[in-house]
This record gives sequence, structure tokens and C-alpha cells, in this order.
Amino acid sequence: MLALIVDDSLTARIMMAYALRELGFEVQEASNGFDALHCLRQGPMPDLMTLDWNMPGLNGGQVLDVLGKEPALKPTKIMIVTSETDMKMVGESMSLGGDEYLMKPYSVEAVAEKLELLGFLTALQTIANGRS
Amino acid sequence: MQANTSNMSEIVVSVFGDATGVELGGSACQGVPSGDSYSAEICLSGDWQGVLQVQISQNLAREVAGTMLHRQHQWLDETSVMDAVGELANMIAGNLRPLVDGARRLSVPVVRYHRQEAEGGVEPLLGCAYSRGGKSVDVRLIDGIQGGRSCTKPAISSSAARVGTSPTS
Repeated sequence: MLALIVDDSLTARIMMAYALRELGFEVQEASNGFDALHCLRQGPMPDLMTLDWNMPGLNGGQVLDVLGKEPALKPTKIMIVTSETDMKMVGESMSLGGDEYLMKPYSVEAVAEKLELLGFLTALQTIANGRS
Repeated sequence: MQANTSNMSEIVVSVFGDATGVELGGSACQGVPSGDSYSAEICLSGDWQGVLQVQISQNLAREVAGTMLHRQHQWLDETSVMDAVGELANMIAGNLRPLVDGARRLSVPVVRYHRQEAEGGVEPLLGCAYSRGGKSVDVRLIDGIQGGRSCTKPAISSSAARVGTSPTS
């Protein structure tokens, strides 16, 4: 499984990459919305895109706007990852096309729970195998 | 404003614990770190404007950065440490913002390195500080108007602004 991590923070990208690799993903990274769209246009299409909401330039909401107008670019699943804990923003991001929402800070287990909700069941199996 | 010293302290302790594994000790007092330190500032904007300021001692900054970046802290470059400090401040601000009436948007953090003791700055609306074993962190919420700061732009347009003056410059 391939994941595209979109966040302007190097630290945030590394933290998410660590969690996703633990859960069996290969990862690509984009440091802003424009680079994310470039990655999506170039391919390969990721199974999952984690998208920061508050970024300079093209923010998460604007990226979702573009994907709404160009559905061929939309990854299989999109998880919004942000420090914003306002439930209004959760609703807004879901209405724009996000499939799940993960608030920072998070644990690997929290990421796994979200991936299960998104249908990536093998993620939990990987954790279970690692603990047995 | 729903935000107060108590819930601000809870947020700071929780974010540090969950993101870095560091258990902050101390009490809800104020005091900028002595010695070399980093500061991260995030503007909150909307009907209310202000600044969240996180000042963290160099040794604690390197420790938390090492954990967040999954690397030995002594091998981290300054840019990575400053990015981690900014991300930590971002998490605190994101958790605090819903409690600050009128604050609707957060800016990208601006991080600076301070040789020796950082300036104390203006009197904050809210503040908490923790210190243990020579490692310390001070978090302040400053009113933008009273503090004489301008926070009219909710976001800094260049991601380069995330990293301010590094100790090597």
C-alpha cells in the first residue's frame, strides 16, 4: 500500500511516515498542496493521502477543492491530519471530501484505528502480528 | 474566553506527553527559559487576535525533537530542531484555539533561536511554565492588540517563515 503524506512540517511528515511504515505502508511525501497535486498527477496513485489542513500557499481545504473538480486525481482514501480540534472544521473537511480526520498529537494505535475505519484492515493485522 | 490557565496547562502537558513522551513537571507559573532557547510564535486571528508563544530551553527542545523525529538528539541539525519546536507549538495552538473566543485561524509557526536568555515580552493573558533538571518550557497566550503585535494576516505566505534565525546564522 502506498501513502502520500502532505504537510508543510518536516517533523509532522516524519511522524506520520513512521506510523504508516509501522503499519505496512510505503510512503511518499509532499511539503505543500502544489507538490501534492503534482505527485497525484504524476502517479502512481496512492491508496491513502494524509493531508494537513493549515498550510501556506494551497491549504488542505483548497487541495480538496481541486480534487473535487478533478476526481481522477483523488486518492482512494483521504485522511485529514491536523492540530485543529474544532469540530466545525472536522465537518467542513468531511464535506469537502475528506474520508477521515485525525487530530494531532496521535499514536500509532490511533492511526491504526483510523485506517481500520477507512478499510485498510491489514494495518491492524500488522500490529497484531507484531505484538504476538 | 473559555481558555484559562488550568486548561491551557492541561493542553501543554498532554501535548508534550502524547507527542514526545516527556512528562512536564513544575507548576502553572511564568518564567522564560534561561540560557539558549527556542521560541515559536503562532498568530491566532479572527474576531480576536493574539499570539501563542512557546519558549523552550535548548536541551529540552533537542530532547523532544529527537523523539518526534525518531533520531538521536545529538545528531539533529538545528533546522530539524526548530521545525519540531514549531510543530509542537502548532499542536498546542490547535488544541487551545477552540477555547479562545473569536479565534478562528492559526498562522504557520515562526521559530527563532535565542542565545542566552530570551526576552520576557509583554504580560500574557494566560501562561504556564515548567522546569525540571535544567530543562524548561514557557507557554504564553498574548493579546495581539494589547501586546502591540499585528496579526492581521492569518497565515505567513512563505513556508520559509517557519524557520527563523538559526544559531549558525
